Order: sequence, then C-alpha cells, then structure tokens
Amino acid sequence: MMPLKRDSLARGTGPMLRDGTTLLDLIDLDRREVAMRVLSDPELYRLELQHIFARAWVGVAHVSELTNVGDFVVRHIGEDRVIVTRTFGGDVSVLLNVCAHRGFELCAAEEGNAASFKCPYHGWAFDGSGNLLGAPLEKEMYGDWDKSKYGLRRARVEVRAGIVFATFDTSGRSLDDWLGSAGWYIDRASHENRVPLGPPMRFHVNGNWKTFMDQGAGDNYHPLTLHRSLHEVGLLADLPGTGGSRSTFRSWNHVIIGNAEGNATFAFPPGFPTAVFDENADDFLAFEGRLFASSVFPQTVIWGPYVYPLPDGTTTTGSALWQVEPKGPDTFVMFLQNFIDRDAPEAVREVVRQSLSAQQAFVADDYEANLSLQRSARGELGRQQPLRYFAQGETTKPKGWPGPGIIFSPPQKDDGQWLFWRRWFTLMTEGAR
Amino acid sequence: MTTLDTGTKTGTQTGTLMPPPNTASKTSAQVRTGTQEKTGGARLTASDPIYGGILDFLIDEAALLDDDRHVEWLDCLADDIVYQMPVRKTVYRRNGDGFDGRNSHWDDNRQSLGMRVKRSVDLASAFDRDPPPHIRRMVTNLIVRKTDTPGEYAAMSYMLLLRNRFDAPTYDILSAKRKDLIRRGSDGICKLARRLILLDQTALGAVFINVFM
Repeated sequence: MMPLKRDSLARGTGPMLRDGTTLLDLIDLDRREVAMRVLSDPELYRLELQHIFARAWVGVAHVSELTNVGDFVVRHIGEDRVIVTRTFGGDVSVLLNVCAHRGFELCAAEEGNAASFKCPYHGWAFDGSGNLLGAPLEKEMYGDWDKSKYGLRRARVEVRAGIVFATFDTSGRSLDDWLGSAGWYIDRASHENRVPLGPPMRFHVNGNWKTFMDQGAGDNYHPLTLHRSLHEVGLLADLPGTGGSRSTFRSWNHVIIGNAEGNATFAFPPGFPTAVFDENADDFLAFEGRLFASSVFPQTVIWGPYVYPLPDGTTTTGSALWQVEPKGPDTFVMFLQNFIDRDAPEAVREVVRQSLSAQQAFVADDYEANLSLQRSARGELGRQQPLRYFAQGETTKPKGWPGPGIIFSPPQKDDGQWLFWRRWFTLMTEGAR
Repeated sequence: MTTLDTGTKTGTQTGTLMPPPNTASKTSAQVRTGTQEKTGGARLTASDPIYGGILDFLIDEAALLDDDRHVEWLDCLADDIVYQMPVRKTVYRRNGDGFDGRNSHWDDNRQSLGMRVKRSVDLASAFDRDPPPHIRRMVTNLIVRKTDTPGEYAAMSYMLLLRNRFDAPTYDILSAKRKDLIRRGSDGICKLARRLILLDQTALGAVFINVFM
C-alpha cells in the first residue's frame, strides 16, 4: 500500500471546525489513530452529509421491488428521502422527495404504486421521471411558463447485480469508480436472481454510522470476544484440530479484500472448512460460495450468499441489503432487507424467516458496541481518546484467488478498517477544496 | 394485498374525504395468516371466570419476564408455540395498516425461544442482558373470544413496555397490540399457543432485539 504522507496534504486543505480544529488534528495517518470526536461532533456530521453522503453512490432498492410501472419505495441517501420508482419508459428513477415548488414531501408512504406524484401543499404534480406535469390554476398563476425548469431533483442511477444504486454527485464519478474492486465481488453474489423476502426491518440505534460501517470494513477481531455468546450457546462449533479461543478466532477468519474506495469484501479463504459449507474445502463450491459480505462506503452493506439448510436436507440461498441511514451524529437507522430465490415456495420462506429471526438474536451484540462507543465519545476526555488501528498485516493473495483488490489473508489485522478511515479522510478533505 | 388480518379496518374507504394520492396496493405473494381464523367467536364478559383466568395468566406471564424468570416463562408456552412480530410499513390508508408478515422481527418457535431465553439469562457474554435491563410490561384492554376449538380462546391485549438501561434518565418504549391464542386445559391451566405482536411503530425507536413482548 502507498502510505498517505502527512506532508502530502498541506494543513488547511480540509475543513476547519469553529474551534480551529482540522481533520489532521483528529486523525493521525502515521500512527493510524482517529480521535473519538469524529463520532459525536455535530459540525463534522453536517460536513459528512455535505461531502460524503451527497456525493456517495448508495444502494437504495432491489429491482424486483419495482416490477410494475409506477411502483415506488421511499428510501434514504444520507438524511435525504428519495422516491425510487419505475417510470413509464421502464427505467428506474430516483428523485428527491421534496417538491420543487415549496418543499413539501411528495410521498408520505414508504411504498405503493403511483401514476404521478402530486404535492399535498399546492398541488404541483410530477411524473415518475421527476418532470413537472402541471399545477392548479397554472395559467392564472404562472401564465405561459417553462415547466422544464421546475422538475424534481433527480439522482444518477445505475443498476448493478439487481441492486439500484443512486447518487446526487454531479462530478460524473461512476458507480464503477465508487465500488472499485468491490464491484467484481458484488457482481458474483447473484442478487438479480432473488427477490425481497418482504419489506425491510428497521430500527434506530443510538450510535454513529461510522462505528457500524468501520466494523463492517474488516473487523474480524471483535467476534472472538463480542460474539462469544454465539459459541457459549453452541451455535458455532469449534473446528476440529484447534482449541479454545484460537479456533473461535479462526472460525471468523475471512479473507478481506479492501480497496482505496473504503469498501471491503469478506470471503472465505480457499481450503477453509466452514460451518455452512462442505468440509471438502478444496472443491466445495464455485467461487460465489466463498463470498460473505461487501461493504460499500458510506451507507451500504451487501451480504451473501447466505446458505440456509432446509428440513429435507437440501439448502437454499439468500442475500441481504443493509443500510446504515445517518440520523445525526448520535443515531442511525438500521435497514435490513433480505432476499431469497425468486421461486422460493412459502415453506422455504418460513425457514428463512425463522433463521433470520435467530440470527438477529445474536447480532444484538454488535449494537452494544455502537451504543457504548457513543457514550464514551460524550466526555471531553472520551472524545480525545483515539481509536487505534495500528495492527498491520500482509497483503498476500491466496493461491489461485480469482478476484481483484487489496487482499489481506488471515490472520486478520486492522488494514481493511484503516482503508475505511482513509477514504473518510480523503472525501472530507477533497470536498472542502 | 400483503396485510395480515390485524383486526383493523383495511381497504378503500368510501365517503366524502379527499382520496389519498393516486396509489394502489402492490401485488405480491399471499402471506400466511395470523390468528384471524380463531377470532370470530363469541366474546366473554369480564365477569366470566374463564376471562379472569386468562387475565391472570397474562399478568403472571408478564411478571415472570419482568422479574427475569425467563426459564419459568417457557413453561407458559405450548410445545407448538408460534411467536411472531411482523414488520410494519408506512402506507396510505387505502393500502391497509402496513403489517406485512412476509418479513418478521421475530418468527420463533419453542426451540428458538428457548435459545433466546438461554442467551437472556444464562450466558456470560450476552452484553445487552448483563447488567440486566430494567423492563416493565403493562398488560391492558383484554378482549377474550371463544374459537371453533373447545378450550382455545382468542385473547387480544394491549402491551406497553418500558425499558431502562444503565443510569439513563429515559425509557425506551414499545407499544403493541397482541393477538394470542390461549389453550386452556380442563384443569384450568393456560398455555400460550400463538402470539402475534402488532407494533405501533414502523422503524422501532431503539434496539429491541431479545426483548420479549
């Protein structure tokens, strides 16, 4: 990896906070440390919405949620609500859910079907592409007006592996550039053959969005301790030939594929038997079976494929789209959308629902970290305290590994997570130039 | 339409009110049903001894959970217990009440509830459970109806759950309607056979994983 030199970024190029603090006062690029103030500072949070979320590509929906013309869902890019809809032309469009006239939200429901979107305030009406169709008394109010000037703000949209990605970035940066090497792995997770199990599960977490996403960018160290309950209850058996906590550590040890875009993919290494796959590891599955999850900076995590064992001894696969919707420095909403095979019968759906229910019982551990770090970051000394990422690993590619990216083989260290923080730093400073 | 029969009014309303924006329900797979097939029977009055027995059962059950006696709570459950908390979404009135059983916060059976109980009281590393959260469950507004099956009663109750953790000055609040199927033996002992928890919130206000309703 090319180290990011402190002197390569002149002091003052990034944003400066009201008390004179700059980003370089909060992040130490040589020691790989970040002050916890970045988790709780309201000023930094506003800058993140501006420099990161308003420019990010976000996975907002699955194409199968928009089967018919007029189908819509309302989702989030940062704190902005967007309408994702299927237009008469057959495209998917993503529109800011804010009337171009006086700012009322056009859509109050989170899903439905609409031929057009009429504002409840003064009645301006828009089509699914965001074009202004008309307004009440428009001749009297506006005379011979040019309606093309008053369309809804429209995001750029790309569909990748069945997932609708959107951005309000105007620089022209493509989704491919945003995903970097993660795109190659996302393409192989077969999301286009799946449909949502149902509507997303959502709940508020009193933590900072970065705490969740940073863990998802390669923290294979925490399961050993934070998820110990999984082992205590017997859900994860220790693997043969190893003992105690070491095997617990090993059982979570994926290959982590990081990239400069701050995205990380987790995959099972070759030759590694896992709880869900055949133990004849060398020939157990096609490469797709090794994929576990890809995080896409800053708001999206794409999981899968999961393998669900069925009562008749066969298996089915599913995947998931998670979003971490920021709601201020101290809160985010977890958005969990699960996918199953398109033709899965109700009996299979039931198995998947029950399996996910049990999974959630133990994912509860992760939110404890979000809540606790947020409490820690409240104090003056707490916000000065650094989060440390100094454990550096090798960038070795397992033999025969087919995919791109910066590949870290087990045992895992802090490198994937540090790439996340470098991306955060880059976007925050880039945006202020 | 993907709503469960949740006992509230669904479908397009007629009348003089302005219709909501031009939305129609999306077509999707039929969902499995809740307890609706057993809710149509005659209502028991509050003075009926069976009503009183079921009310006692629900109060005792809530007390076992509040007092962290989760293992004893498992004895309140029938072996074939179905315990569900469907996802709810915000939709226009004409599209129903938003409950969508295709996805669930909880979809549990006896075995998985047993696992959650084990995690709740028996593990050293379930950090959301130790120190134990301070939880109070209020059970009210009970309506009991007979069903087609002798000894089985449809019990609808409201629950308000308050949770406090550590030294926080505030509570996390969860409010729901519960639709239960209670199986009452000839000895008068009640078991919970089904529970459908219908939340009054779409994006829950806090992390409520592993909080039994």
